Amino acid sequence: MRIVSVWLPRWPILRFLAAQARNPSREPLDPERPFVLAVDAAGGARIAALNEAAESEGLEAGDLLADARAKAETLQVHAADRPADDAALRRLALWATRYTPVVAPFGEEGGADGFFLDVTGAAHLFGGEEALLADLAERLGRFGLLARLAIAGTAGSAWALSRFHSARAVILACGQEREALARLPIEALRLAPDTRRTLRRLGFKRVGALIDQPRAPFAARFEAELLQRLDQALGRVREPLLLIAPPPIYHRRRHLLEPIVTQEAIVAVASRLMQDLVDALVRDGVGARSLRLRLYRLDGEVTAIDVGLALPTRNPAHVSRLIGLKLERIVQSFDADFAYGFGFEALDLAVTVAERIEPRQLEMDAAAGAIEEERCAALLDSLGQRLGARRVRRLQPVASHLPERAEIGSAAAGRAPAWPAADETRPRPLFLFPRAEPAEVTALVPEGPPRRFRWRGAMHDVAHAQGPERIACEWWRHDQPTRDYYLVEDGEGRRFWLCREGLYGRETAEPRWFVHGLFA
Amino acid sequence: MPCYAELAVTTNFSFLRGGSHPQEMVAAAAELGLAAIGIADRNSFAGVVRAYGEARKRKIKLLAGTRLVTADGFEVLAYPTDRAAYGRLCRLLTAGNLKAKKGECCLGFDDVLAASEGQMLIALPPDRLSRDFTERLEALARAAPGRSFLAGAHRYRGDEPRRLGLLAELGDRAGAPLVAVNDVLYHAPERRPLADVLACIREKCTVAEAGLRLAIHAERHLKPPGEMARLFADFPQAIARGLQIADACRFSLGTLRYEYPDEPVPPDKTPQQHLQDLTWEGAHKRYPKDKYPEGIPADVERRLKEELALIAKLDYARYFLTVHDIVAFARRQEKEILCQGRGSAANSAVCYCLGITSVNPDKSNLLFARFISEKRDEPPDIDVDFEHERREEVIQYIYERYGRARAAICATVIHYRARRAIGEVGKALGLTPDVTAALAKTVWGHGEDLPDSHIRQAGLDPDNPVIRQAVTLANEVVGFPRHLSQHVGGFVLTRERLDETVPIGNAAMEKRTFIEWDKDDIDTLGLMKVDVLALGMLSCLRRGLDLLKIHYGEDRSLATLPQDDKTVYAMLSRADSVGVFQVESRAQMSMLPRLKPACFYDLVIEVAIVRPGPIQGDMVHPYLKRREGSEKVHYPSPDPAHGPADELKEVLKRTLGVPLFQEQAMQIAITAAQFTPDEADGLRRAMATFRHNGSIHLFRDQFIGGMTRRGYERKFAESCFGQIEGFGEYGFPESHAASFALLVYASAWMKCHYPDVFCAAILNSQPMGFYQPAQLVRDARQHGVEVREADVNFSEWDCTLEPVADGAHAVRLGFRQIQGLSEDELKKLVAGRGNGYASIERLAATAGVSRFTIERLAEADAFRSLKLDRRAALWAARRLDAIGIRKGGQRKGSSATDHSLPLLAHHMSDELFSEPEVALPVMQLGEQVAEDYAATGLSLKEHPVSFFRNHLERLGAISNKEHCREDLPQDSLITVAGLVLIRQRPGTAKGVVFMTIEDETGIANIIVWPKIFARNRRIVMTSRFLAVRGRLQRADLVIHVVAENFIDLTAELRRLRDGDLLVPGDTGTQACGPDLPLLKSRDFH
Repeated sequence: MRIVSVWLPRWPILRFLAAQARNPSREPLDPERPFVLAVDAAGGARIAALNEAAESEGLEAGDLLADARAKAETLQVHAADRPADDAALRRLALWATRYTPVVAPFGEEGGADGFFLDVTGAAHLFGGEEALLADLAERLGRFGLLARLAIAGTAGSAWALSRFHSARAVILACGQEREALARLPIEALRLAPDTRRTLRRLGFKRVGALIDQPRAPFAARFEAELLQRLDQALGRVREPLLLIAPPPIYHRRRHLLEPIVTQEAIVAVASRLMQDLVDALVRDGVGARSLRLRLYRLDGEVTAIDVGLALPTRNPAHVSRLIGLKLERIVQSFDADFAYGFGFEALDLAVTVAERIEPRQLEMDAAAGAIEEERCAALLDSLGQRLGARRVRRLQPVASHLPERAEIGSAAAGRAPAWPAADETRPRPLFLFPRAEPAEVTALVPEGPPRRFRWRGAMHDVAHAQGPERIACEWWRHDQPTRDYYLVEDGEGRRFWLCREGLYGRETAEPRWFVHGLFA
Repeated sequence: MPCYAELAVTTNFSFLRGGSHPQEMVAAAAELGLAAIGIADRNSFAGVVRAYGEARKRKIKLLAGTRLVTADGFEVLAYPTDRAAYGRLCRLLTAGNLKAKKGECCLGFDDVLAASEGQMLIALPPDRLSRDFTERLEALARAAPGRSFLAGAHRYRGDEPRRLGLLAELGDRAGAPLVAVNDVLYHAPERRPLADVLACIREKCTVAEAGLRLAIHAERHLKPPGEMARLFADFPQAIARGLQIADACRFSLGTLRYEYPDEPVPPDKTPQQHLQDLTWEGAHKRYPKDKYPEGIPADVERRLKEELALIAKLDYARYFLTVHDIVAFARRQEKEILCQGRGSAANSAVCYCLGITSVNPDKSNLLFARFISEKRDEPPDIDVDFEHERREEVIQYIYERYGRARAAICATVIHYRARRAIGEVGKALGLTPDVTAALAKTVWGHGEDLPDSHIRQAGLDPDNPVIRQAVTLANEVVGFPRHLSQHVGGFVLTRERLDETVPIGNAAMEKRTFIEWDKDDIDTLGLMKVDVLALGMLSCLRRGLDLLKIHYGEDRSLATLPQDDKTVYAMLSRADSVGVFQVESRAQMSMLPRLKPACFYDLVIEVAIVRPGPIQGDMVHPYLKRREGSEKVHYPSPDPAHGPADELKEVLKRTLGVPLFQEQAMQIAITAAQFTPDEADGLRRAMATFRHNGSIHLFRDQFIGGMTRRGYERKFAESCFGQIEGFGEYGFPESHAASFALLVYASAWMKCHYPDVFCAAILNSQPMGFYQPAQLVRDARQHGVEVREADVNFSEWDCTLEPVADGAHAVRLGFRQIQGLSEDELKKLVAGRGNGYASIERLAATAGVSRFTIERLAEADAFRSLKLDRRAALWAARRLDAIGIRKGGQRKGSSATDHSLPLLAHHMSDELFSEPEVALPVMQLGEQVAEDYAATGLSLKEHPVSFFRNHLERLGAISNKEHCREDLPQDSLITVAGLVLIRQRPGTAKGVVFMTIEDETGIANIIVWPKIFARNRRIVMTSRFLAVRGRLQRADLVIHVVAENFIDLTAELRRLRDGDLLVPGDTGTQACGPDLPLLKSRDFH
């Protein structure tokens, strides 16, 4: 057995900095200055991880944040995100399957900040163990990760050496575990903190002090964990590694006897491929949110077609229609020989993003709500295939009192947003102008309703008015005057949304008037 | 001229809802010319007294009411029309409070109906009118016909005429006509941002996220009558109804009359007579015939007569009797609870005879009349300190004797302080924790506001709009009430039901109830309060007196200690005062050798002089100089045209012409600055609340102006006022100082004559005082006391005394010194000990203690009597489970119920349990010491620093004992080293840090000036073991090292613990020791 242990010191810190670099909209962080990640704990927030600068200020993991702030005056603090750390570690471990399929991230007891690679019989593929470690170190370095690596005959000793050996990369020949471990502190055994503490109290500070002791007295005094860890590290018993499981792949391919050339034929094959995938999707309770169809041309060219969906689906008909639409666009925009030149000998269809589909009950009435949503999604998909997904947009509500800030246009993917129920006492116009348009208004001060107004050159006499509805500015953003809104109807039954900006007397002596929108 | 009364006002006592103080509301209402204002906070009367005080001043009618909010969200304003109705409301709220957890009130609609008699009820309609609301409104109108109303507010929502019309119709139909209100949240529209921020704090979101949870506009402010008339032009009756309601409410808080409880007075006597009987009876006990053959000293007798006459005149007898009743309870307990009164009236001859205080009036020469002003119509003030561990008994006695309906603790209003305000406001504005922390830090040790320069210091831009906003809003929030908490021990006792005077609620502590009003409110209304406080030193003295009786056969009490003992004063003059009450701090210790106390009154001064008041007033040095005789005693005097030259002599003569006590500063205000008694009273109040509102500055000009105008030196006037400002922080009146001085003397006497008793008593009373057990033990050993380690075969839970040769005793440390043990379990261990445990297995089998506890005992090295060192004991303890001795609990507290012995325990023999030998590594002495510290906080084996002596010598450090050598020249550059015991950064010291470090020979006092601190912040703040290079400074007996450089040696301590002190760190591996707290300093920021 040859196991590589990859230890990523300060993993949560590095992970956080990487996330920060990807998302520069967050406020700036100086990685050279003291910086800690904190978790909420009993008695107040505590330090979960810290950078070197913080450590040299005398801070330690586990310190109370309040104390830490008193010690380091300009401490930068962010919340630790353990699930994100774990997820990122899993992603990195998945990446490492490029060396060997047998990859296992460290568990809680191993610090959750690195992973094992079982490279038994695989190292020669990378030019030997030394070259493998060098390659691994270099590639991790490119991600900005300064890893400490060790390769040994057991996972336990590889872990111990990666953590406690002074060299960045260690190769330990088989059978040398005993000597190597003997010099290391007992922390190298991946024991529970309580066990570690008791061993130290009893004076067993290095692994060497334990190795040659009689076993029975220790078995009587400690959990089985102690001897088991020792045996595992020394290779006396096997340590099963918890392998990382790659995400399920939904993927089908069809080789065709005769090359196909027509759009209809391609759509038909794609539909069958989707049909083949349905079983697996149903089994896992998921649907496709994104698909990739690959077309293998006789001359070796491969064309990929990506299809995104507004809602997860398992419907082959829907998928094939979208593929048809897409092909049409391609055919129109490309040259004719896309399809007619050589023909395609194979097609494969893969689900690139799968999402959970909640089970749903049927409706007797086909036009009922849930179906409605599905039909809307199908429409969005079709429009999206034709126009480009980003061109299809819809409005979403925003919680704000200011009418122009109460909605925002965004990409129409996903479920329809829930709009608050209309409030009949506070009408909103069907059409809100992008900019309020100035108007000349006659009204009584301080807050009488408009009598008549001139807008876009035309004079309107007000027949009915309702209001004012008073809306003050969002003071933390801008200091704007308060507005009074009136719903007015002119003599011809046209309805306007008028707005007076500035409270007479309190904010201004001359309020300004606008028309902000029109009702149906 | 339109008339309007605003009846729906929510103040900031509806926490995180209202945006203005009650006083601001009332003041604004008066200015707008409202006919009346009704204050109604959510299920509470907490803010009405403040409003009442302001309304009295502004001469505006105040309606004290409450906004009843039921558990299912029905809201109704309730205004009592008379005293009885007010009482019903209080009881309603009390019942609701007691049903809910602290800070909440659980009301049902039916409860509201049941309490509706005599109330004016104004229902507040919800946003969406519902069938349910209509039904309730009808029910309300049926329950309170003619007194039920429906509130209508002009909300600027666009459909006001329609909605108000709807409400008017609904109200008429239901029999609860419409009344105009504005549902006020803040006194002026400018407070809207503040109200929004408060809403965000409440909802735990930022303003950007809050969305529709924020108010849509700023209309919920107090509006002038004209505007209200315009808004309700279509409903003039609604305005008129508000005025009618205001007229109908005749109840005023001023009619709450206070009456003392009757209990302590026997039915056939008047209170005064009973008090006199008790006093004379007590006097004969205090001055028994065998010691005072001629009876009560004439002087005392005269004073008793005078005091009793004054008490009779002011009708305070029942107050004294009530306090006496509480104290008598403590005294008659089987195990007497030690107590000691203090406060303005406590050091009277009457209180001495009643047993309320033990300060002999012979000694203190405090004049009672000085403390009770005849003009100030306000009850005398007596606080009583009890043993801190037994105060709860006294509290429960009070509850039991007077009933929970008549006795309760008063509240302390917890206000927003700058740091918290900026933290929460910053969060609501979306500032990151970093920025708010930086802002908050700028107030570290500073005052309460945030000037621009401080913001710049924190590396932030005060011109940045968000920061600007945060600071402005935070400054507004400062002083806002945050929540109510119970006062440390102030009890309000009444003759009638207290819950008909003020709502009572549950405290966070079990079995405690407290009222909604704080000390100031109670003062405003003239209610009586008795402070029942806890004092650790009394517990210590109680224990000491008990030990003295058992081991030395001396039966003493606080009042019967030998007086004026020269050796005690000599000890104090040497600053040998570790553990002595009040004078053990570093500042006190440096004062003692200069003051050289020689009599009881010197101790009174000693206690009072090291306080912010005298220090800020720059009174300390003049006093010391006059005492030494290097400066002439003279009394500042006014211009002869304005008054007699010796007008202050009477006030200042006992303190050599230098004002040191709070009362003296007050007297100066009256005598020299010619304050009226009312103004002086205002000054006194301002002093007490200085930290909250800073109103004391209003008196500055009057005080200094008044004195200079009368010909006093400006400098003297300014320093007097400086002192008053200092008192604002920690006022220290003479009467308190005298009570404390008695405890200083008592503890010093015990330490001086029975250091063994004192050591055991103070260890058993921890945590208390300034020093940790390690220093207390060390001090005892230096005074020749033998201290023995805790041991399973000798120790008890408490530290005990074991006889040694020539009548002295050794202190045996108790199990309480070992961290993490449960008292119950160890008591079982002691009970089952018999003639001693022969082995650890036997102990485990018989004692009924968990394995966790046995391991803790092993780690504390408590098995020495079984010939097991800590490692061997731990090794043996770990095996107990495996050989079936017991399946002990894993943690403390999981006590074992199974006392039966395992089958084989009787035949326990080596053969049965034999196992291969394991050689445990030998523990180095240094490691032993480190483990001792980890388990018990001290070591009797060696001082940790002694292991580093060679190392320290290489650094050029001298020992702390050496640095006291008299031949070291002043200002010489020396290096000392030690463990950091204490770090302090007192507010009065302008950023100077004081550290106390300790090595195996003694302690050294370090002073770090701000500049040096800034450069060495990390070491100063964090290191546990350090070397300091600095200048030696000596004044009298006090030696300081003024630091220039530091070396952090904390890492060395870890090596001590790891036992590889002598082994240089391995090169092949990274050092990795687990961090265990070896030593933690006491830090006072």
